[in-house]
Amino acid sequence: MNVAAPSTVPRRRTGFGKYRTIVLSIALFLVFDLGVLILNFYTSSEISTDAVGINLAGRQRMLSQRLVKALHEFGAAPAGSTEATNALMELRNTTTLFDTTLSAFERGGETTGGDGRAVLLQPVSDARGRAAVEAALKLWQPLKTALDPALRGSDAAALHEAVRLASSSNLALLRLMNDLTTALEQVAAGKADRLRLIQTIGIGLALANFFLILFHFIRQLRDSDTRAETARRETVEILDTVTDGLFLLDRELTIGAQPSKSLHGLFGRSTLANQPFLPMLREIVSEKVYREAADFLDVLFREHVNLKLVASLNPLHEVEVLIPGPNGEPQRKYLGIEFTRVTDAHSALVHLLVTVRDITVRIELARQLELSRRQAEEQMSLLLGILHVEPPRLREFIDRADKALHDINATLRRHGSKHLSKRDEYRGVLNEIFPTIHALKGEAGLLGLEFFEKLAHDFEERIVELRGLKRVGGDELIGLAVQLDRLIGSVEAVRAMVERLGSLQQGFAQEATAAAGAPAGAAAETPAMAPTSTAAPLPELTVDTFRFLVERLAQTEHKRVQLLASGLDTLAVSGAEQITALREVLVQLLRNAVAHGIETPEERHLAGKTDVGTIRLQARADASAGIELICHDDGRGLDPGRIRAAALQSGRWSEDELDAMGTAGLRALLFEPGFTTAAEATLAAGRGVGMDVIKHRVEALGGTLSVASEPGRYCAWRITLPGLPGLGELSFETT
Amino acid sequence: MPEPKPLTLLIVDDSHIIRRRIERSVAIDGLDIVGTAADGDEAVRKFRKLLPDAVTMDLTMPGMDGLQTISAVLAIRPDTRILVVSALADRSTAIEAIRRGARGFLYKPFDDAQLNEALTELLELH
Repeated sequence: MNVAAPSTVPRRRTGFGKYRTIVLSIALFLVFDLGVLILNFYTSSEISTDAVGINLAGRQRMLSQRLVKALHEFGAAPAGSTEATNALMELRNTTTLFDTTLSAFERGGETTGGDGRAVLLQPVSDARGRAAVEAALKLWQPLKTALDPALRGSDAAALHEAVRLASSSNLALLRLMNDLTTALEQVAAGKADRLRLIQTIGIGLALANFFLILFHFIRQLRDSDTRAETARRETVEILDTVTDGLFLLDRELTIGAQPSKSLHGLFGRSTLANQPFLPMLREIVSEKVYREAADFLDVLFREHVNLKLVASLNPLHEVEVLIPGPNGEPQRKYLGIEFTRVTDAHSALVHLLVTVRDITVRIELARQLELSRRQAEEQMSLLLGILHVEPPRLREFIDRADKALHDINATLRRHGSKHLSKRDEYRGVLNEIFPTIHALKGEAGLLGLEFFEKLAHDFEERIVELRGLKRVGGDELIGLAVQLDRLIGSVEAVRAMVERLGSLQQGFAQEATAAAGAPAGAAAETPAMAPTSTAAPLPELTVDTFRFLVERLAQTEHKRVQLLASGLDTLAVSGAEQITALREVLVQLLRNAVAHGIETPEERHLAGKTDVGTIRLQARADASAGIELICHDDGRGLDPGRIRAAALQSGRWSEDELDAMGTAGLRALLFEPGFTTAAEATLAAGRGVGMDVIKHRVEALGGTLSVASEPGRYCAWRITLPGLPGLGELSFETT
Repeated sequence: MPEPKPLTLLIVDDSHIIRRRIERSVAIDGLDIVGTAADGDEAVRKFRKLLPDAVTMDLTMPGMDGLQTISAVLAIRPDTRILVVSALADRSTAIEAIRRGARGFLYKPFDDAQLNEALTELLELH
């Protein structure tokens, strides 16, 4: 797991960056608007000034008419009358106003407006207007001079002259003032046209600017949309094709919106996006892993925790999962789930990036490697195991094992093909197989073939396991057959090895003979390990064989045991069947003595005994009584309390039933199939077979089995075989 | 330039061998081992006196266990950097230790390089 590299912070750029265009456009828009506004303001103020001029020019036309009219009224009114006075005042006012206005038109200056307020006029600049003003002045000056005496007094001659002059120039003045009005109106109209032009241009520019901005941004948007779409498509392509499962996990432990496509296959689900992660996980992993994962994820989101320093705690690093397959059948897979922190621009932890890999192949490969390594080791221990066994005994074992295993195989095949409906029928099959495999295990132990002993032990364990199941189907029996194949295979391996060793030894022998000058053919006739040899007498029941077994079992049980045997060397039994049966019985009795009888050195010490336990094996043959075998150990003895407790725990007997049994009854339980007092199964004992097998074997030989014991002191088993008379003179010790 | 003040480390482990092991193996400039403790009570007592910057913490100890000790130590000095040193077998306890405020985890057995790397990472000395 890695700590995420901090994402690069975008570099701050001077200026406006990508916003430059829009800022420029807005600035231009404002400049255009402001320009148009200023021009508009200026021109319209000019137009409004012009309007005043036009107004006053129009008033001049009217004044010229009023002047003539006032002159006539003044002349017609009797002197000193009110009419005369009024007319004179009108005449004065009209003259003054006309004169002031006209001179203001000429030189610029103040005059009185239509509302009586002072108005400032600019000199007329238009050529036509100017000509009209100047012509009007030429007509006005003589008239004004002629009017002057008439305005001051009532000189009739002057008045008459003034009326004549006014009448003659009146029309001309009227026309000139009309011209002036028209000229001023044309100037104003020109300005209004200009104003419209400015406004049109301004609006045009603003519109052009607007469209420029519009097109620019539409293009930019389209470009960025295209880029975003491309990026999105790439992301989708990556997420669709990547074989690793990828997704983001937020603080609420919700799967992100875009998990990679392969994740659906890895988790065996069609919907994952925006789903809570933990409930999904809970369905595919064990409860323990689920709880650890929940805590671990909590830890990952704590920012003070160093991701590198907790990576090794990830319970999902290699995790076994059960994924629903295409047919709904759960499939066992191994996933490797790793977490990486995802931080934002401010280094704040926002997500975990989760990668999921299917590591089933890798794990299985590792297992296969481990298996082949173990097989190599097994081969080696097999080799070492057989090296110390005498060849004839080994060959006998191989033949027996081969036959027994093939018998079991035949039994399994026979029942595997049948439809066994009742539980008891399965049990029957299992019970049929069990004693055979158990005896083989004992034999292998006796010969020190640890490897084979272990395989047989595993097979035995499996049978016991199946016996405990409520239902046993053909599948389970096939599973047993597979295990059986391994056993058969190992027997074959031993046989092959024995033959190879034989030829090797033969080779050495030939070489030695050749070196000695003897003919090669002679050596070949007496090979040390000829596969067909039956000549050598079998040392079936030697003390050494049993001592070896007892020492080895004692070692695995962490006990110290010595075996004292007597009479065995003189006990000769004819017939392979009987030899085998006797050996099996003795092996089982010795196993029980080591496993159940003899205590650990500590226990013995506490009980005031010597650290080393003693097992005595005594045999004697009597011509009339047959063979008597006694196996005596100075261990803990048969404890009725322990037997009772074990029986109670097995659930096969009720308390009342056990109470009713008494000591003898409880001891009899030892001969029940599957009964054991050992807490756990070991190679030596504890699977709860043995005593019943011994009993059956002894009974099959026509003998009897009895037991004597004192709790804490000893346990002794006595077997009598009247049908098996011993040969030769026997000596034996008595207990 | 004056030498920067060295960081201080307290080793907490009930195994004498592991304590010696860590003491001998730590080789980081600027990190001083100021004490060792064999159980939780001794650890808290020494921690109060020495106020070290960092602690290596065993989880299974007689009396006050590692989890309780972590809480006690962080109550005295919350910014203490604690490295849990434990077997991977008790993964859930280790995760619980991290939840209580330890910052990292180193599983036993470890080699010298792993120890020094973990401590460097813990103290952000790289």
